Amino acid sequence: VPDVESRVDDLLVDLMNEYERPIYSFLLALLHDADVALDCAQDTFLRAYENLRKGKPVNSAWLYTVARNRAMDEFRRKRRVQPDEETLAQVPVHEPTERRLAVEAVLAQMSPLDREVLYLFDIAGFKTDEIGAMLGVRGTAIRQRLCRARERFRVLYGAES
Amino acid sequence: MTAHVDELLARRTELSATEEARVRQHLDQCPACRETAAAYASQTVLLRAMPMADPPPALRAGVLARVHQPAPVPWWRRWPPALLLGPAGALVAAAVITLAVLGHSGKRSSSAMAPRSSHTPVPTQQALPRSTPLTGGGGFHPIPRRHGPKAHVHRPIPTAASGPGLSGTSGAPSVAQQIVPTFTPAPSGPAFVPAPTVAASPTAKRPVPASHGGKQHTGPVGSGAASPPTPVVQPTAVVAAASPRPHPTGAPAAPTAAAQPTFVAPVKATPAPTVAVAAASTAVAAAPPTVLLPTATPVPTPPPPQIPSPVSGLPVPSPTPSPGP
Repeated sequence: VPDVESRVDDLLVDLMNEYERPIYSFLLALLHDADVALDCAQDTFLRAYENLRKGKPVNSAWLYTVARNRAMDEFRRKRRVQPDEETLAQVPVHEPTERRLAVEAVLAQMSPLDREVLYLFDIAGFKTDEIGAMLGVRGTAIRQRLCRARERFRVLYGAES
Repeated sequence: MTAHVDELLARRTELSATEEARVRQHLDQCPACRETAAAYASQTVLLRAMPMADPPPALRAGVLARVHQPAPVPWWRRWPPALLLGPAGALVAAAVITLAVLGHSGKRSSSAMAPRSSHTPVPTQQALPRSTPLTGGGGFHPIPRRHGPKAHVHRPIPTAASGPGLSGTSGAPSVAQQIVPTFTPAPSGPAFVPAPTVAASPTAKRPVPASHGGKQHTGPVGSGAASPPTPVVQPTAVVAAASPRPHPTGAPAAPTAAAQPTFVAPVKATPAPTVAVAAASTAVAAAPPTVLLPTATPVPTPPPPQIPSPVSGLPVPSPTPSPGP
């Protein structure tokens, strides 16, 4: 039994090696709060650990869905829709550039729903039907939302630059 | 048409070949859509070039600490049995004394109004002739007592509780109050019984720690806390670790969910090990057979019943697990 449990621990470490940064970045992009993103990421990986212990599979879509749902819980609980620019600026990132700041500013002005669809499609690389399955809506709704989000991004980024 | 093209342009990276051909054909004729396509494509480049934030070290440290912390013992297990039984015994004694006192006083008050004894069938015999027109029967039919000899302790309670509310009149108890013992409430039972249920709620939120506490499983509710310790069955760990990172920084490669590695852990399952392992995929069979049931089945057992094992039901190659609520 200890051998198997250590194997689960190893799997958790592998999982975190693979997805710690993507999930945390995703949560940070959604929540714009480093502390809350940290809590949500921890809860996500703890949920993953529970699944692993039960022998259930865990993959990228599962992690993003759990993380997204956890972030939505935070939105509902704290009504933290407004971005916290100071907190975001304190988050260490690689190679900060003005373009990155402009993109972050644009993302910060978008609604969380538009932001998450853009993030899941462009950055996480999911297809619209997969995002719909993750968010519990039809793929057509995701495609419409993605189109609106792109238009919104286009307008905001033009204003920023 | 433009709205439809905009939607296609918004998800251009996932278009099929025929859709892409249609889009290209339209773009050749529509400068506005070409501009839109360029803007959307630049969005993808911009977003994929976004560096990922470094997770703070507290993230991993916190997860591993909460995973490895010993299982917190519920408060009712932290107390020694003597201390736990002490208040419980006091509660039981208090309940018995209270009921006895109430029964005694109730008996005196009811006996002052009308002679009544719960031990003798005299009231029943007196009341039965008044109820015979209703039942149509005749003679004496002793009504079986449902609560045994302890019923007399509880009987005064419904009389006192329902007396003013039901009858509102003074005088002898009604026929139903006297002859129907089913109005007597069931014995209240030990009042401390719900305590573990209430106190068990904190365990639901607690993360599942590593079971350093031996077999004291403290997982979430329903995760096997009530099940006996079972042998570990599936020692296989299927990790498609060969797949690249889903989105490396600045890399334009967009992994799809089909290429996602799936992590499957060993599982603690009921003793249906051979079936579970045999029913698993070849990837599972290729795993090192290290922990295959060391002591679970010392005696050659018949093929276990086809219990839907959580292992055999897993689509091992690349499933899309359903995230819980």
